[in-house]
Amino acid sequence: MRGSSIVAESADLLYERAFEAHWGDVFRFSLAWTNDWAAAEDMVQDAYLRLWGTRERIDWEQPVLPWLLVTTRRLATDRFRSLKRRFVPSGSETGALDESVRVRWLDVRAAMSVLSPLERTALVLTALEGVSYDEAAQTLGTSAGALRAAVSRARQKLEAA
Amino acid sequence: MDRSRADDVLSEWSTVAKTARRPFSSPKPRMTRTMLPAGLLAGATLVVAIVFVIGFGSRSNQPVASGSSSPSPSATASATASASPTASVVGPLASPSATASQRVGTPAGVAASVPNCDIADLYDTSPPVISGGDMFIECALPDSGAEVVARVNLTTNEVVKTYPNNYPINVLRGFAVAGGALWIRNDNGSGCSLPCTGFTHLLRVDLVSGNVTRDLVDTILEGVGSGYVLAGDIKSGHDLKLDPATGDSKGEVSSTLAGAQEVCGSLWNRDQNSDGTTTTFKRLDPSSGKVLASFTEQSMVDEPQQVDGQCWAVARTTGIGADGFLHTSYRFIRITPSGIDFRGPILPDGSQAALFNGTLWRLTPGAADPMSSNPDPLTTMQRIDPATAQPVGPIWTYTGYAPAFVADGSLWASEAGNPPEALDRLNVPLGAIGS
Repeated sequence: MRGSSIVAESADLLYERAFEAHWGDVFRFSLAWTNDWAAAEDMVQDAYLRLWGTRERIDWEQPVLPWLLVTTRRLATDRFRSLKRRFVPSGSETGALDESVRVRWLDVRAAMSVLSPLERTALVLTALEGVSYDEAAQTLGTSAGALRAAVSRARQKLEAA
Repeated sequence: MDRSRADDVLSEWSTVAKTARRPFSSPKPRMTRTMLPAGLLAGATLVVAIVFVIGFGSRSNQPVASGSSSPSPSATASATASASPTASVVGPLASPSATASQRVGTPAGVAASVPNCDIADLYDTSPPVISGGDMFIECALPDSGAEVVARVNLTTNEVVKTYPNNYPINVLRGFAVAGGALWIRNDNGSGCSLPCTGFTHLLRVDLVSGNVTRDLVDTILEGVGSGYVLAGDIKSGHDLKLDPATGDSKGEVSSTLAGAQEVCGSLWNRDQNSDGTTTTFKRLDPSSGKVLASFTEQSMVDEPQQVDGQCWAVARTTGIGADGFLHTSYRFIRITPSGIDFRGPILPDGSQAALFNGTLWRLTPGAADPMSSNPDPLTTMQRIDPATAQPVGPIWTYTGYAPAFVADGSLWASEAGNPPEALDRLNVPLGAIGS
């Protein structure tokens, strides 16, 4: 249900605000999931395109970040479907990573590759993004218990690697 | 307190991840085919294969719009050149998902398992390729997550060779097999934005030796057709025909025909818009590229397949449900040369529609979300009769994820586990209903 104050604001404007406010959060979620910089950028774009498509229907009084993260997760698991991928120019100047960052990314990517997507994402959400176990479990479509187990397993794997 | 290695890795991960910069402008949907170089279409292989010179003569394969096998009239929409929107399908349906009774069924046997091949955790995959009696399939190695192309002998169901994807960085974005070689689109995983110069490589890998014999930079694999490897040149935006034996360019492909598919006896361009809401079909004249018919369906439509002389496809509609979560609803549609003449009922929430080798299936998860914590996801499968658009025959159950593809007459699915460590070949009949 939309409140009148929300209705007064353009859905387009709210979309832009969500883009500015949460792009980084969604990117890091995607990066944790995919362990792939380029794929993460693609996934963020896909998630925002979905948000654009539903901006008139979404309840903007609710936090939009959980919606974006769940959408991103579902997009990631929608495999074997999006066989034709589209590249929409973003007007970005991000370009390739700085070489020093690139090397660091390759190292940390290799370290994180011992984890499954669930383990990586669970760990990043709870350890770095300040998300509670319950919230992380909801985002990842799993139980809090399973989420805790995944985090524990992830730490063990990283220690042992 | 001493920091653990896990903390160190996480700290470094966080530092690096935060260097990512948000694009200046937010993404907005746009129809891309005519606005972007056709070469930017990514490198799916079989499905995106450009087949514009592969025989079009079989008019008997044209989809049949009506006849004795038509589904019930109540569910039939009239043929139209501009398909009307489908019924509202946003959000969860009233029907419960996967009831207890639906979980009871006939266990599907596992004919064979391909070990060390996880297809569930791949983000961007190509469908498998059958060549020379072997199946080539992209796998993530469960231990490391590294992506490889595995060659599976379909007689023994054993992996006979793996082609590591280690050049330049492990991001495999599609492959094809042609000219005694594996053609791999390999992206430099450091990230880029358009035009992504130096980012994408198309590699020719010798099937026997596994050596890279050609590295084409800024080139995207688009498919295989008419004796060529078809590739998109990012810089020029042109679609190229490559000699599969050498990788040399042998000319360009008409932009009109690039990306077209021959399905159901006709040549089609199928464009899904970027926000995932519509699919536009254009039927093309194979000789001239002229558009003979065009229509738009208000859903995402996957690759059509010929089913009993008719042309069917899976249509998906995604929207936010009453629970605030994104839901995708599925239905089968029937396509004629000029439009959609039938839209089947929307499958109950929690079910997915799938086409395997010209057979219609209703799948229920278990496997819809490969990240599920359930250690034993249970998938059910049941045929849909195209004559009635209703489920028919036994309900098959499988402890594992939903079948992902059909190859060599079998359904293939990831076994249970997170990550799944093997790919199972299922014993589920794909012949005529009741056979």
